[in-house]
Amino acid sequence: MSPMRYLALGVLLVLGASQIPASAYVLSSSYKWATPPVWRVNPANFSGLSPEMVEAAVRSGPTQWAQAGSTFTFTWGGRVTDTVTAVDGRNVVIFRNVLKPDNSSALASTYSWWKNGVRYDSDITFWMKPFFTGTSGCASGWYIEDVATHEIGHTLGIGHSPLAAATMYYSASRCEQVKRTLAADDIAAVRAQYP
Amino acid sequence: MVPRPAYAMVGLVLGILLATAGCSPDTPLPERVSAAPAAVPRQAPAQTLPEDDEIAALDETLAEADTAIVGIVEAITAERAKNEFGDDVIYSDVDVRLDQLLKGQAAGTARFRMEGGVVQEPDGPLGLEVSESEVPRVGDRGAFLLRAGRALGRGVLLLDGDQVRGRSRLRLQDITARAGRGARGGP
Repeated sequence: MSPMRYLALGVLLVLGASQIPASAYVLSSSYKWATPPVWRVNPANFSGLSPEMVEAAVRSGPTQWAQAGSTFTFTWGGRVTDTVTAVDGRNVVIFRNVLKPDNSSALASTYSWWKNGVRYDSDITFWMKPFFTGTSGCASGWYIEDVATHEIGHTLGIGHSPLAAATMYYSASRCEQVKRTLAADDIAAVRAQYP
Repeated sequence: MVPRPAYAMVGLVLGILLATAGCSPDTPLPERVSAAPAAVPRQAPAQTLPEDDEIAALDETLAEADTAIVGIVEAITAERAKNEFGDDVIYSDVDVRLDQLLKGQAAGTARFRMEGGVVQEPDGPLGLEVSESEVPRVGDRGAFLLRAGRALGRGVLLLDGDQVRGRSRLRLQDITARAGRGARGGP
């Protein structure tokens, strides 16, 4: 291949890459928290994880978003014993020992309620999957830190990003540890939602 | 003959210059500001194209579905209820005028139930948003992947023309092709 062809190839590669959007977040809802939400967790789980480990892992989710340079903040409410979720103004994270009935591949689901124009209640259910915490020991499962950070993004009204590198990308690889920290796209999203 | 990376590198640099010159002010680039250490954007891993993931998810959902249809939403009714676990939910019952049958049996108007929606309460509307699914609106056209009369998670694919709405790269043709039977005319 001639030098000119290599030159043209390089130009085409860069121009092509420049068409991939650097920011592609999706705001799925205009309803926002009017006051900082209080997050609570029932750490009882079916993966044999200690309550302390689960609480720390879940808490890391909202913490990430609150440190992203937006106006979003939250309060940590500690542990509870809730086993069902309700539209009661209490934001809880629970673990359930079944697969999601209408989506067996779901790791977790977020249910967000709005009323009088504001976000009123959000609850997160982790479904029966092999979950782990921390940074090591994962065996063909998922780390709670990464899943929690993704789900908390939904409670902020952020939908799924098409960027595979984003925390809000809709799927998660087994044992990945990338979604627990926010990508530029995620930070842009929360700053747009909570300027 | 092996590639000549030196020439390609010159091209890359030239391309960067050209691409930068072509940026318009409204290009939605993320703001790069200093933030608390934990909020510093992580280095993105090598960008993977999502198309394969989307196709894999579509195949998985199609395999779980007993019915797959394309149609236009004619009516939605919603109610507050308890789900099988005792959680508070809103269920929306969605009536779809069938345009195409991709899988299973359906005719005329199909009805399915899904989590999420809006109900009228004495003190105003109350809404529920569920992370994996978007409740359509009357008049929306979409592909709906159903099992036992319920929309599967990731089974509501709303369409703008033949393009799946949002940031998806899926098109209706992808869905009909992956359904295995191709599109079949509705009644």
